[in-house]
Amino acid sequence: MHDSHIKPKQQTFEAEYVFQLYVAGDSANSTQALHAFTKLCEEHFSGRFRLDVIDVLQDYRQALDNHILVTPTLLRIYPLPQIRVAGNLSDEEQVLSLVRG
Amino acid sequence: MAGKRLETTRNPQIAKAPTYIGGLDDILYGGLPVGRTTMVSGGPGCGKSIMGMQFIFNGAQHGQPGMFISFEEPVTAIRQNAATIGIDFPAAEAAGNVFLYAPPINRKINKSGDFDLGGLMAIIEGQSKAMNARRLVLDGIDVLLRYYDDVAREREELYFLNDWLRAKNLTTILTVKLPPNETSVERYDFLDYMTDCVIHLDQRVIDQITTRRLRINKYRGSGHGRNEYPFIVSRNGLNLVPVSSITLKHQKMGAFISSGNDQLDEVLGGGYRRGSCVLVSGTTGSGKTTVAATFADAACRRGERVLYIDFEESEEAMIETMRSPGIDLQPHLEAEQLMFLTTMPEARGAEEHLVEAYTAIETFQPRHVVVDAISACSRMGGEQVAFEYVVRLIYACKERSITCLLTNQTAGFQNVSEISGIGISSVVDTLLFLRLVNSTGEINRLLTVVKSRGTKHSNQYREFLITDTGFELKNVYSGEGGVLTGVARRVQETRDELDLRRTEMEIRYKEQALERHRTMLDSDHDRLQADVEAMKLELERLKLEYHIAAQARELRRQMRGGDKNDNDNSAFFNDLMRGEDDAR
Repeated sequence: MHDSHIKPKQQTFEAEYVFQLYVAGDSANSTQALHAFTKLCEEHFSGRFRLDVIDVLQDYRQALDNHILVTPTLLRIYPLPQIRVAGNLSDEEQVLSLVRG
Repeated sequence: MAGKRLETTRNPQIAKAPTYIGGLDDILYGGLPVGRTTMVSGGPGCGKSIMGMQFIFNGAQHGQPGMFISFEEPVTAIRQNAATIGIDFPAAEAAGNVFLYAPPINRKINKSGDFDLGGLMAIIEGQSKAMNARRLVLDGIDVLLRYYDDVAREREELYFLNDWLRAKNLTTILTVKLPPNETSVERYDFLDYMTDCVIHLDQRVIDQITTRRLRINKYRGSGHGRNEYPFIVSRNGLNLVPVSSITLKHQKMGAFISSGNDQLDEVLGGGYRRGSCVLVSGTTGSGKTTVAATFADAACRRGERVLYIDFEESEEAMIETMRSPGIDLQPHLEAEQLMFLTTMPEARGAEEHLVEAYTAIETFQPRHVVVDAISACSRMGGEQVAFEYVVRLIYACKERSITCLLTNQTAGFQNVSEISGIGISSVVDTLLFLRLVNSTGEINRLLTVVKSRGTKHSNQYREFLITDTGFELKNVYSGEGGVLTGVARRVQETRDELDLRRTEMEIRYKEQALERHRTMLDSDHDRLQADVEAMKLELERLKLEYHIAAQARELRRQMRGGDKNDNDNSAFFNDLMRGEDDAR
């Protein structure tokens, strides 16, 4: 598993975009989603985002409480409304249009 | 039941997780396969979720904590539905034995690329460790699978989930919804192969009455009941009708017990047999209920309990009606020797009627059960349904050595043991047939014993009279050997045409005999007098017997609706009589 659970840490409250990415260990889909979405954020929301990566294998209660049945699942927490995207986020254009809302 | 279950579990390598659902464990030979997946499929509203809830709740009550995960309805609805079948989920949840979870499924979820069920598996694993769960229900797995708009991916993911569950050693039920009236959907056919045990539920509406059935399509590594089993959803949840199940161990027919009427006992060769099935068939108004009530009355007098299932009239009406032939059932009712179960057949489905009857049998513990009349059972939802109700009830009684007396209204002789075409004769031990005969403007009743297993019964017709003290059988034949071998004739007053003719002839012959006596007395042949007299009387007696036999045969033929030319002896008889006249 990747060690970057929260990144970048310094932009805690100023972030324009807050995301949660639920992954299941280092499964293929999860690894792919993490790479793809980190890249996307750096490119399009640089300095304006916060991304929490939650491994459901480590913390099932998070999955339980947020009804995360499929992994990977991306949640846009902020801005509202919440947006939920399931999948390995391989299609950058599609993901971008979804999370920009 | 427990004993039977142990006896039929012959496969030691398969561990079973009892469902504790009435009757289900019997046909599963113990329960569901431990650590394996069972698929329960069926149309909407046929009881899949209820089965799952009971599996979880009952398990929790027996030290097997469980998780119920629904993809179909919210937790509040699950709790409410469970409460209607007596399941107190909140208490079990508070005790930590049950975990209910119902994540909302939004089919319009945004998708980008492939995904898997990692979240669900993490939840199952984490929660099952937290509560040491042994059982799991995934209710409406098809709803979850719709996340994939891809049949191949659905299948792949389910296989993965199934293998994973097996590795976790959770005894699992997956429920899959099928469109109404379909037994399988191609899309989920693979589930049949994937899972170790496949149970199909269905719900049919036949003649406006709902009938539920359960069938085990497959059970890897274990035997199972192979029929379709009716079940109901009662206040206690799913309830299978547990007969015609694995092994039908009928008790042997017991000792003779009285039918309540000495004459009928004699005709039957001793009476009914304890634990046997007696069918009293007949046309309307022929006296079936009187025969049934007479039996019930006698049994109650002997101190044996009788359950009287009446589909024809109310308890009060039945008791009142039977006062006319002098049968008073009221004291037996008050002494709790007699219990009535009176319902309109169409009031509910056959399964519910059956469960009601079983419950009464279990609680009241009768020695005898009367069903009046099984012909009314077709109003429960058709002939097949009626047939099953009757046969299952008979089996239940036989298993418990309970005597079963059924009445059946028929249109004629041809279908005495049929409910409009569906024969139950193979399970009937004694068959009485009552009918009305119309002879010269009078209606008379006739009774015959069509069959009686294990008894040396008479198969002659007898006139059946309902009196103010029950009923009476008039011997068509009687004599020195009694009813079984009787040849001579018993003169008795009767309004029956046959008896009238018999009496007329008797008088005629008596007159002739007297005349001959006088002639002989006048003669000198005193020495021959006695001989001649004896011979003539003997000849007359034989002719009379012949006449009666011919009459009876004619009557039987009429009843059978047979050809008139068949065995027609009237010509011979007429010749005989003419000869007699000529001689004179």
